[in-house]
Amino acid sequence: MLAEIMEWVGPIASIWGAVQGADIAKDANSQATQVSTGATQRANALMMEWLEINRSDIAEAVKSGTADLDTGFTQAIERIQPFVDTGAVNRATDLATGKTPASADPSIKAQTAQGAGAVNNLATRMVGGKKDKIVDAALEYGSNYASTFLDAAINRTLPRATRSLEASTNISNIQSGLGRAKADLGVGGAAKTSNITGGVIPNVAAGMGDINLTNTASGINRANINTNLTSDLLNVGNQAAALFSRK
Amino acid sequence: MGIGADGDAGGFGGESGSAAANEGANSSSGGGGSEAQNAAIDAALSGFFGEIDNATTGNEATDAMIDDALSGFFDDVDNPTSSGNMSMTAKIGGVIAGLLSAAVTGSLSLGVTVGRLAAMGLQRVDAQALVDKVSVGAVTPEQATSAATAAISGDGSALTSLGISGGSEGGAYSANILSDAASVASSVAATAPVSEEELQREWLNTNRSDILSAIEQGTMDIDTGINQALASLSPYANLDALNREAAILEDPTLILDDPSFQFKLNQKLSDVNNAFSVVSGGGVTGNMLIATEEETQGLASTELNAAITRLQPFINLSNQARTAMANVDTQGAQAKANTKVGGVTQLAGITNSAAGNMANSINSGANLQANSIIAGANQDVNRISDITNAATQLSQLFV
Repeated sequence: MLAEIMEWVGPIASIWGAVQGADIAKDANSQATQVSTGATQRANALMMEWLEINRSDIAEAVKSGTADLDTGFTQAIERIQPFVDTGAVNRATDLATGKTPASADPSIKAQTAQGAGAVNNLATRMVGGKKDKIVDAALEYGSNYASTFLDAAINRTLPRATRSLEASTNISNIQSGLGRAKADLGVGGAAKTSNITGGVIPNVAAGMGDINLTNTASGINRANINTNLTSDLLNVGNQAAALFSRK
Repeated sequence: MGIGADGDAGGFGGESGSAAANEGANSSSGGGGSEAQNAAIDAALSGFFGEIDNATTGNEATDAMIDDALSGFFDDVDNPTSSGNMSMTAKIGGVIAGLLSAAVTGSLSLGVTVGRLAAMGLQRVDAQALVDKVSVGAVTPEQATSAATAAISGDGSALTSLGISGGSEGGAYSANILSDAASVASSVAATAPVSEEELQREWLNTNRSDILSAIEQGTMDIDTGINQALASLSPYANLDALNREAAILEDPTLILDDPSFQFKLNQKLSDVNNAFSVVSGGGVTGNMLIATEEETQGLASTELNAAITRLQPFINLSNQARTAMANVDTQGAQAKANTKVGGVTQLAGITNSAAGNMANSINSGANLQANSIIAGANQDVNRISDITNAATQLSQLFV
């Protein structure tokens, strides 16, 4: 009786071992797959998280830097702006071209008034019937004479006009420099963002590919385990059949 | 070490233990090839233990490294009596003695000692209790070594006799010890990269904070420099002269109605009139009026020129100062912008690199863990296979 029982110990143990071994192998395969794919997903999430932080950091720095440029360059323009006097340029030009008569120039008008005042003061000492005519003639002479001071009037305005041109040139340069600086900052920031993004995305994509590969390999492993189990059980079945045939 | 070539355990004295604890450098004696091999094994173990000790400081306990460390150790399992090999019991005893000796002398911390004993297969709670007793002198190192070695070899009674639970009993040094050690190793290895990731994250945050602080400080420094430069120039930037020039050009009477000019004019005209009076006998003539007109206007024009010319140097100073200040403004703004964007670019580079390393650590740890799971499963399957084979062989006896 014991001998008969012991004959079946081997096949039964083989069945138990094959099933247990397959279960263990499948469980390990499943666990290992979960660990691997879970880690890759976590690694991808981590890389994306820091990528977003990096992109945000750069965008914020470009924004802040652009605000600095606006502030600094605007301040620079405001410092120079007081020297811009296009009115002086226009006055000098109008006097020089005759668009404005010399008598309309404030300085010439004022000096003519001074001359007229002096003549009138002196004329109070005159007597005789020709007084008025003589005075009128003198005043008319004074008005005409004032035009000889046209160059002086223009020259008094010219330094201001020249400085205005210089200031306008400087402001123009600052404005164009601001445009370039802002463009450089923006493009530079975008390029850096692009470089960083370009360095991360392929790794994330590769991670996603790895997950697919791992899942595929896991499926194949599971199939192999099942195939081996089937084979093992078939062998045991053959052994059992042989055992029966001997009986 | 006093270990014979036949593998007998010659003793687990402190001498041999010290050799083990000191990374296998000083095997005091032994039989030829045995000593060399033992030293090699000790060296391998030292790498293993070093990895465990330093698992949280950035080292990676890779599969290969652990395999290398353990291969020598477990060669003895396969060939415990072959020439040149120590018996496994002797080997375990030597290592334990060394660990305890180092703990007693203070060359190894108690925590590290416990960790190493646990890594060898002793239950951590038992290892802790044992080290505690040794450290306070309640148990001698020799007693502890003997009890721990016996426990790892399958007999926990010695531990129990020392007042320790003896939970390590049954940890045989056959396939079981390999499985246990592999489990410990994989656990350490799997933990190390996680710690490594945390460490990297911690240092990344530190680095980021440093750089952000540097950017902030640098921007403040630039602002300070800009303000100082502007303060140096501002005394020359006064616009009074410029405004005075504008006022005079707009309203010349500011100069010509001024009493000082009028006094000067009266003096001039008085001279002219006096000169003419000599000729005219005191009367006023038309020529006198014309001369008065010419002198007055000439003097007025000259006075206006002088007033404007007098202002020019000061206006030029202001112009130069303000141009220089404008340059400071623009250069300062560019410096600030460049500092911010440049600093953040550095920050992004460091962050990107660290993120990649952290991702690698995660994957590396997972790979180790997955390999450990597979290896453990293979061990279990092999054991089942051994049992099955044994049953089959037994069964064959009755066929």
